[in-house]
Amino acid sequence: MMSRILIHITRAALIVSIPVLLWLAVSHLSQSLIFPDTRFALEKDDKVKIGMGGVEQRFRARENGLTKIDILFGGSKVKDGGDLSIALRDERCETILTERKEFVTSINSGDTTALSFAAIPDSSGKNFCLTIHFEPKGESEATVFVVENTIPEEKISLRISMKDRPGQSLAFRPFYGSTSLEQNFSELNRRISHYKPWFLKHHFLSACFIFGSGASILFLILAIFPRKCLTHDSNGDTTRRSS
Amino acid sequence: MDISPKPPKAPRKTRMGAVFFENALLFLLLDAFFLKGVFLAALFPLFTGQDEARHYNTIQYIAEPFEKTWPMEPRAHKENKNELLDYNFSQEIIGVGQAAEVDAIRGGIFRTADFSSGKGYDGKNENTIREKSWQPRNTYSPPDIATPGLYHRLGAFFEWALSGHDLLVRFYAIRIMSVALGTVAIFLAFMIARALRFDRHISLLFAALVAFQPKFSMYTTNINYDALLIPTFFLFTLGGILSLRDGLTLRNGAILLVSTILGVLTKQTAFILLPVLFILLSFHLLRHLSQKRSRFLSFTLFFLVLIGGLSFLASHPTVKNIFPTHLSRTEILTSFEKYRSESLTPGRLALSSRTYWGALGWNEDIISRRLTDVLWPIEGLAAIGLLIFFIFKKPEFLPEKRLVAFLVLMILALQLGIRAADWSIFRLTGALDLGAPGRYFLPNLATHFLLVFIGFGALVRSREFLRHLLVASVILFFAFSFYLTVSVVAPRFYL
Repeated sequence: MMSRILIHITRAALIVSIPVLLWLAVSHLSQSLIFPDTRFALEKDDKVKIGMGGVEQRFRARENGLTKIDILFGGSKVKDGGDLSIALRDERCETILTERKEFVTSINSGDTTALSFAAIPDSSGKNFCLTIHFEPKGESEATVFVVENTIPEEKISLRISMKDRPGQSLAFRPFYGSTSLEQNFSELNRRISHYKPWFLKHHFLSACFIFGSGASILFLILAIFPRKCLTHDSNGDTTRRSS
Repeated sequence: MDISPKPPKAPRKTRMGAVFFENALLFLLLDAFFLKGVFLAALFPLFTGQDEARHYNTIQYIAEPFEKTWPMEPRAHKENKNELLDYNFSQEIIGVGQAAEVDAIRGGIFRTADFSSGKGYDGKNENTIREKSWQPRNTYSPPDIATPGLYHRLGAFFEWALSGHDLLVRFYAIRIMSVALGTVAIFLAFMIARALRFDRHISLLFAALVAFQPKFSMYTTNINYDALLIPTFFLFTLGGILSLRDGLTLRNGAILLVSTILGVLTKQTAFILLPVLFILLSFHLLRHLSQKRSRFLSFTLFFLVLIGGLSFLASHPTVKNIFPTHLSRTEILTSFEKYRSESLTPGRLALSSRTYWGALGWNEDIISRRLTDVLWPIEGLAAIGLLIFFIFKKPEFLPEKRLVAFLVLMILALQLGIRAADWSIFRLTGALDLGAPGRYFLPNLATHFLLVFIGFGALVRSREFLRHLLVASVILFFAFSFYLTVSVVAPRFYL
């Protein structure tokens, strides 16, 4: 009797674990379903030290829902540490809209550094100012990458250490997110469909994902409740036992 | 004479229903793996699989006319290759790769293709690719190709059959071929568990573990000869188990022979199956000797196999390259010690293990970083269980000891083979150019899972407990695989 109760409890726990684990996996994706404007190049071109006055990059947001900015820092010597401050300001570079301030002893140059914030719903067409300041301790120094400005109408101007840099922009990239999950998944489907044959685009792609996941979950549920015919230790192929 | 009344037969409908359900669950698993695999094949952009562009170039090289009637430009292989143009690939691979911004994607972990300029569901240069603006011909000599094998020849059939279509159709069709081969491997994993006399449910769960192992799922979506090597190893394991269980019948012998031939024709790694086959044949012959019939014939056959096998192995170039018979004892020991100190370190073993289980190293999430911290103690426990299994009386629901010993032999053989090959390259170049990445050990994936859970079975000594342990493990692997797909791979390439 006890063992039957234990079996039922175990099966219930296993059944419940499936949606919980799926929700954990999918919720992470939902939160990261924000789309970069890939016209903003992230290239390791010229490396420039962040000196007095810091970095001021003015840019125009193309869409609504501006919610993150990725910045490509150069290989920096910050062993002695320093105070790094990244801020998104209004178009006059005055009022701080959001800021990230921390004391750092290393800056990742293999990947981008992110400034994430609550989505600005009406950001489309508005000008913003991205500022970066670094107050070094000891002999630390931080650098950023600077690239050729191919979209001057959107990457308006760049100023580093109080010097203007015409024709150049910071290596950064804005991200936009929609409040509609359906729109976000649709955009993700659109992107995945790029450079795929017709049978792996759009609806075919969605069908693969939905039916593949559905079949997997159905299998898991049925596997938790096996029928007697599966657990009966039959040797229906009646092969000879070795001596 | 048995005069006890026969039990009544189950109604025909119930029997048919049982048969249907038995097979439906297996087909559901195979279906789930195939569809999931096709989606994964679409998720990874062009040429982002392991050595994928080289393997696809090998397929194109086989598919192109034998007589090279077009101009070939001699170009030595470059030392440092940063972009597709640096490789001696076909014009089409280079052209399409550049159009699809493959160099941009591979240039850094933060880089993706430019999606902003694409029209709807097509990339910005997709029309150019559809117009087949480049020839699928290698114009650089020597071309950058892998050792052509059976897998490449199968791929070349698809390349030829779909030659009227653009590269996107051909390339992804061959990726789907790899997924189909992976599906065959799942079926063989099920058959191996059944051959070990596990019931259908437990056998399905073992097959599901393989199906949801993340690295296996991802690797079988690539254009790579390992997609064929893995099922041939599984087939060989099945043949070995059946022969040890039922004797060396025509069927079992044919499975062993066919799988060995297929493996050797696919990749050099499969050469390790030859000594294992040799050990199996020796075992069967020696068993015949003990049975007092045709001893003379058995002795003769045994010595012929022994001499023939050893001569073949000793004279084969692959074996000669791997085993340093030309070096002195001191040189061998010095070389091996140097290799051991660089390769068999905790850090390298952990990296190999993490990549084996599916960690991609693209992000710093706690699961991928701490995976081995969780799995190694579990495997350690299972190893203790295996020792108990061999030393003491086994629980009746677990397989025969000699069958499990064969599984251990398969693990040791592949480990030895890969390490020996890695050491041979190390002796030549002084660096770990080959390495032992986790994917090299995937051909023993089914065997690995079986041994781990047989070990647990010996510890818990309860079939039902083992069954629930398996179900829980399958759910965890599914969740991890799902997480990697939607939260690591998709964001890496598209967000």
